[in-house]
Amino acid sequence: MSKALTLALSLLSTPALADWQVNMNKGVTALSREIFDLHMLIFWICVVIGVAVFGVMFYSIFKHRKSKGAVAEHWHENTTVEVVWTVIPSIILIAMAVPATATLMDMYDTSEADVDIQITGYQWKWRYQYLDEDIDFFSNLSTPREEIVNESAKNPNYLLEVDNALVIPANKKVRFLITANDVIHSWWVPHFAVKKDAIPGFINEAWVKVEEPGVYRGQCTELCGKDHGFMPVVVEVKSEADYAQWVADQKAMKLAMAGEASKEFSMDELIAKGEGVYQAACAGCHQPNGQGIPGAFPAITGSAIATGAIDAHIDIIVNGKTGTAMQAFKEQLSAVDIAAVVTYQRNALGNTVGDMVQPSAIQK
Amino acid sequence: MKIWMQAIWSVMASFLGVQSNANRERDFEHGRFSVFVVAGLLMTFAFLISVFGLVQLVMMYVK
Ligand code: HEC
Ligand SMILES: [Cu+2]
Repeated sequence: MSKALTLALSLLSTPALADWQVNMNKGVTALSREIFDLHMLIFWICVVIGVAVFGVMFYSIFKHRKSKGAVAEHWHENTTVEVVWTVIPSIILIAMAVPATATLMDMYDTSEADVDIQITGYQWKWRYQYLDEDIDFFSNLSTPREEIVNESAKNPNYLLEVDNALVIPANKKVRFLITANDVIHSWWVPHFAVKKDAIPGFINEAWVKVEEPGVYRGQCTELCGKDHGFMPVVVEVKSEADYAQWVADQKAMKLAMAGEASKEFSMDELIAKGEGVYQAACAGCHQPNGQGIPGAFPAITGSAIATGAIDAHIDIIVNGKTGTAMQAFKEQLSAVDIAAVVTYQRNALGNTVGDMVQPSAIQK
Repeated sequence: MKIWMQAIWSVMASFLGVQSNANRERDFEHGRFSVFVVAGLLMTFAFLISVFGLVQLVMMYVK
């Protein structure tokens, strides 16, 4: 008995309760709190209605039970009662629409944004383009493979971590223009109360104004193929000064990368670099060992293209192959990355072609 | 005139989803099909106009 009591008490203690949070969270923006409050208001209205309706029902069933000699009435209609139980819910629904409309109007008000960012869903990564800043990068899952295949312990942000997070300034209105490149994805960050479908050919808008700097995590929430669960969203909210510094750093990095592209690399340098690019950008489909998945993704090992003319090999990576999952990588990878991954595929994963390509020879 | 009022009233009842059996029998015995079609279209139009007007009103109020 006392054991059961201890167990019950320990289940009620705070950490256990935190694990069992089932409600949506309040989030970190004024809008997300407004949405939370609306949700709670509607929730309690539903609770009151549920208790009243089921209360009357259970009371009637109990009070007028057969063993007490209750006899069923036989009647066809009662227009008054029917009108009452139709009109009252209608009025409640219309009353609930009033606060809901106010909140929706706020959600859709993307006017007067300070920062505009285009978000594009790809199989299976996100691309972030800062429309006023000439900043453009891809955000890939960075959870190590060993954790995914249970060869090492999973870290707390398992499958919720990326190589390049989306960075936005705190206390600024940031507008997102959300679309997709291949299939429908959906960009979701629970703490922002933003969940918007990313649809090829359409642009959906959303906005946030986050008060506190911090890291916020989310996921793709539209089943989009094999690695749907492997394209998380990570947003880093920085103070205004830190954000300005980050923007400056990004621009400096871009200049440095342009410089790299004209450098000469040795074969070993390219292969070493290429392995990193391959594992991050290609292994999801062609598999870490280059064997591919028969029927879906061709093997790189022994591939006619990866062991054939180097120009065709470069071309399929730069321009992709229309109508297949093999996408154009020219926007996603730098000339250095492409030269490296080409050289890697030709001289590793069981291939021994023996040639290489310099970044300066990559025509994007 | 009376047949029109009755038709409109019955269309409103159908919008609400509640109608008495007495009215239903009356409509099926004395009603005219064409009158119901016209009354139905009219009421649908009136409904659309009122939803549209309501939305306009709300938008004006918010802006
Ligand atoms: C989303 C899945 C996917 C990703 C990621 C991907 N590929 Fe592919 N790749 C394909 C598919 C599918 C084909 C086959 C296209 C076709 O039908 O010819 C292909 C074909 C190829 C081929 C030609 C193979 C052959 O023998 O036909 C090469 C080379 C190649 N990919 C290189 C790469 C490189 C390099 C990367 C990373 C930068 C990469 N791929 C990333 C799906 C992918
Ligand atoms: Cu997706």
